[in-house]
Amino acid sequence: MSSNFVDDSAILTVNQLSKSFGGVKAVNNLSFSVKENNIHAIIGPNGAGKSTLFNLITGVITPDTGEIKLSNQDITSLRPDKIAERGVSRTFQNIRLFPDMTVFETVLIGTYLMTGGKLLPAVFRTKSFRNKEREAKERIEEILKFVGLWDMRHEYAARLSYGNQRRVEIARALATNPDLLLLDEPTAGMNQQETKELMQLFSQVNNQGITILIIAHDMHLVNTLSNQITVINFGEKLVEGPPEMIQNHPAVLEAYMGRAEANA
Amino acid sequence: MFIDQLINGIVLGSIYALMAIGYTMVWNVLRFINFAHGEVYMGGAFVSLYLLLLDTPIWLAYLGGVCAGALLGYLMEKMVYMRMRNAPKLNLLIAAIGISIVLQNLAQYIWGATPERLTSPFLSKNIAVGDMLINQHYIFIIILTILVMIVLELFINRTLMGKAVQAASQNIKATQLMGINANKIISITFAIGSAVGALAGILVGPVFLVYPTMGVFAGLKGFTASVMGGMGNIPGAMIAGLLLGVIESFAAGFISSGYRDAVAMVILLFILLVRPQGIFGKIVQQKV
Repeated sequence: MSSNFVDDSAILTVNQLSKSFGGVKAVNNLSFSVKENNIHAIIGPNGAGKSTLFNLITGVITPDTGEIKLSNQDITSLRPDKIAERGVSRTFQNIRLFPDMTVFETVLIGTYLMTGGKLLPAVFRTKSFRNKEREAKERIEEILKFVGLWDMRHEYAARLSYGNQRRVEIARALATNPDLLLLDEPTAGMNQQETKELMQLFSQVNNQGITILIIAHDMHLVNTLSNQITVINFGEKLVEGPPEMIQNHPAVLEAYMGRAEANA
Repeated sequence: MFIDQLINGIVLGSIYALMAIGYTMVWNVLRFINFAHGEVYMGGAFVSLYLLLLDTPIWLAYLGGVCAGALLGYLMEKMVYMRMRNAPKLNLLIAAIGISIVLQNLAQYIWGATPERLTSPFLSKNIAVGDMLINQHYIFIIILTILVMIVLELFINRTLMGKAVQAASQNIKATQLMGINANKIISITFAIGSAVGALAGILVGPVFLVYPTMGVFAGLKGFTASVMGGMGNIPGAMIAGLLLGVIESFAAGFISSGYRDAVAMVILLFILLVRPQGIFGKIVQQKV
């Protein structure tokens, strides 16, 4: 039924995707699509396969079966750098920065795709290389101002506050010029103020035309930020729909709180 | 006597420093010790020697040796280590030792086991400094080592690709997801580290001769220097290499040349006991 469905407005289509780890089905025959310009949330209990799904989409691991399409291009089993090149970027559940790099240098790494990372033009500093390098620097400035870290650009990223480290990760992801940004529990461990500010940032990112796929536990965040929610449990899709529909869906309540509480 | 030993030590230390660069760069991106690095040192020297036998101009023969070393490092990564990316690190280590032995035997099969001297345009000339004579080839080694360090520093810190190598050293997964091909970065790392290692072998060739097992001790010393300097720290490895050379040289001059290696190893043990993170290393917090 759900196989080979085509949705023209979908930027990401996941079709009958499965991945097992030693007999445990982390993702099981999962199909869903993300509409362009949406903020699409993936929710589900711990161990539901959400992070595995992100690792599959970004090519960190390869699926056992199924396909992943970006716009209408098949990206299943491509190398992570090739998928990044096609416009998918991400942040990690556990922040992954470069411990010995400043904020500016970290975001510079994200512009590698822009300048091409070719060695010879860099050594001989060809005109086109210098132009690209200047563009990259302007872009970094623009991004750092956008996320509010421009004043901290010379500080070591890993020494910033937790909330600001997350901003560095987002800035680095934006530097690759993504069409689709994957955020893996971006507000986990943040205080209320940080969470609020990050939510504003996500809307602003989205307003720039970047589609967001977000994993989150915070139902308030999901309900206010997203316009489509996919609930997964045990690697399978439970329900999908807009927040109003998901909030009171019995299957969701059951998955989250267990049968007894759901009836209470 | 003192100055003599100091200069000998700096020359020896330059070689160790150049070797240490290769171990350190590979450690940074793959977290493993390429124990076949000594054979890149040997291979580079042999290729230069062979090119000279073919009447190649000396600079071209040196350059050929360096390129051959880079190629050798690149190939061992592509043909063996790359295929073991997800294997336990112990497998890589054993593979490296295997490659090392195979290359030693291959060199012996092709070129024979008799030590041969690589020519140097400087070896027979001396420079007078005060009332002392310093061999020009020694000066050549020191100048080239400084040059390599400067170029490497510029590459690592001033080019985006160098930055990408640093990023890969610090978090290879996140680096890949920024659109950077990790395999390409690893290949470049192997090629550069091996080119520098081969250069060390070529520079040593006119002084300590070229033979199939020449890389064994040089490799061990380079590895020692990289541990002393704080594993993964390139400037640290270079300074530790110089230090190791000077200490050895003084040990040879003032104690006995027979015990130079023992003295060097005692110092290594001492450093490992007192500063396990190496002289210039950072303490890494281990999660319990």
